[in-house]
Amino acid sequence: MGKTISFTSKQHSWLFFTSSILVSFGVLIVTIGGSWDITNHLLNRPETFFSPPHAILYIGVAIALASTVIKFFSWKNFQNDIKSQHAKQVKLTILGIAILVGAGPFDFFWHSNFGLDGLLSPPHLFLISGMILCSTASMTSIVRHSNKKLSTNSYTPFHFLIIIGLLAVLLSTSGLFYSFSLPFSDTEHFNFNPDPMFAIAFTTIAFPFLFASILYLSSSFVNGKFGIASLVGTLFLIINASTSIAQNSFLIPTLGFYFLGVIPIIIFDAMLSNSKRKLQYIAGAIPGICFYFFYFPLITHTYNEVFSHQIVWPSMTALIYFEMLESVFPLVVVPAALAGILGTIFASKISQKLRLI
Amino acid sequence: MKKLFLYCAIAVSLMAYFSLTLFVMPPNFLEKPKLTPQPTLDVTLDKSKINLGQSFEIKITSKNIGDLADIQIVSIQFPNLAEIGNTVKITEYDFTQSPYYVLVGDEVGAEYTAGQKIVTAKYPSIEAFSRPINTGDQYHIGLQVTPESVGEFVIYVKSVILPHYTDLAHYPQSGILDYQGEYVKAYSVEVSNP
Repeated sequence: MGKTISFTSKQHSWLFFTSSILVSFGVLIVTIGGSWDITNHLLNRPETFFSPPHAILYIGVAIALASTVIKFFSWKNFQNDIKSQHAKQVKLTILGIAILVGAGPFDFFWHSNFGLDGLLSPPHLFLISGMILCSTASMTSIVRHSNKKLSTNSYTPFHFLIIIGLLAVLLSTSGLFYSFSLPFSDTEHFNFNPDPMFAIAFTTIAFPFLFASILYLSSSFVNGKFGIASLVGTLFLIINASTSIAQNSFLIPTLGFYFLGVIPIIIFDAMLSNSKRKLQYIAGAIPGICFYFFYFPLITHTYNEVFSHQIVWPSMTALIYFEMLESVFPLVVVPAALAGILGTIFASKISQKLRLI
Repeated sequence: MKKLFLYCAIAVSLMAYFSLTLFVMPPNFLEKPKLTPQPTLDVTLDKSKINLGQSFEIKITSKNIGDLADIQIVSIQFPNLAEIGNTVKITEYDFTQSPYYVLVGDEVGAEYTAGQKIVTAKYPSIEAFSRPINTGDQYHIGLQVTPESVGEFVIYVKSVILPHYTDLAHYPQSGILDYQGEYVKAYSVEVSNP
């Protein structure tokens, strides 16, 4: 009887961990669909709600929803002390998935009544908020659940599974930041476009902060083991290249330039693995400065509003981006470096808090 | 010693990265895409003379015989009309985007600038468009026109590919200029009393 209870408890523990990974995976699929959808709007101007990127997006929602249900029932069967340890994350995941699922009909209602919406609209803000809640709560569950296994000296599957959780947070938060910075929200009925000056200030601070934070967390969660931060950063580049660059045939020649971004990511990872904490913080300036390259091509539209004022045709995106490089880069390098450093300090505090509990 | 080597490698790699991304690679992308898209139009009218109350049909096939581009617009204008109303009906349409009806007084782009120069529409038109537009892509629009007055019923047709790099990116390349300062080809049907 005792053996049966022990086995069931392990099973629930395994289910809880797997479902947390799958919630993050679902959100990751949503972010991939969302990113593809933005590019699709730029290239093809789809006129219907029923498009392939929307299908991908809602498959991701379905995965996240089903996984949340499993996560909830496995959590309910935990012993009380473990149950209370994960209670907040489970509640946040449920709240996140409720918002995420509710955003679907809300989005359809919005499309039906106001035509195609822009990037920033009430249903999209709902969707992204749900994604961030779900992904953050799931990542926390994953880290807390596998804390001891992540601390070992050798690589385990947990080291690689945590990448899904981190990527989901990185991409969903990037989506939120894009909403408040890209000028894609001026539609027939509403103009939710951000003020161009606010948009460039926000982009220059928020994206470096986020990217440096997530890379720092990727390294910190695995005790500074080299490789995981590099994988998180490289997978981000691969996803962005697949959804935003490769879809636009005019941008394919820029792929070589874009993937050079792997170099500063690996350097940052190496510094996190081999340096003392203060130097690690300073190293946050590296991914901070490189945000202008990591977030190509979409940030072209943000900076164009102030620096270039051209129509950013898909065929002209690379030209406008590189034309602005020499005027934008010197202006953003210092604030972006500082934002990167602040991001690592912030991530260090978060990491300590998560791993100590 | 190991750390010194690591920091040297980091410094060299960072210098290489920023040299490549800031100085070496950008010049390769700083030229306008040397693309020369070229639209053509094949326009056929099934009748040249009709009686008032009868209809005629226009069939238009657009093609891009040049390089790929972002967008191709085919504009069909009706200089005799104040509004399209029931006079013109779309009978066939396979462009990738829904047709757009330009009303008198609407603000529209001019002189092939994709909206950077704006004029006010003096007569109604229907704009059919596809995006992106690859080499060899063909699209069709068919219209049924039932004029409501006797006389010559005139139709202007043109196609523009955007962004507009060269004179090859519009069709026709000479002839009548419309209110947008863009070349059009004119077609007409004689409408008589029965």
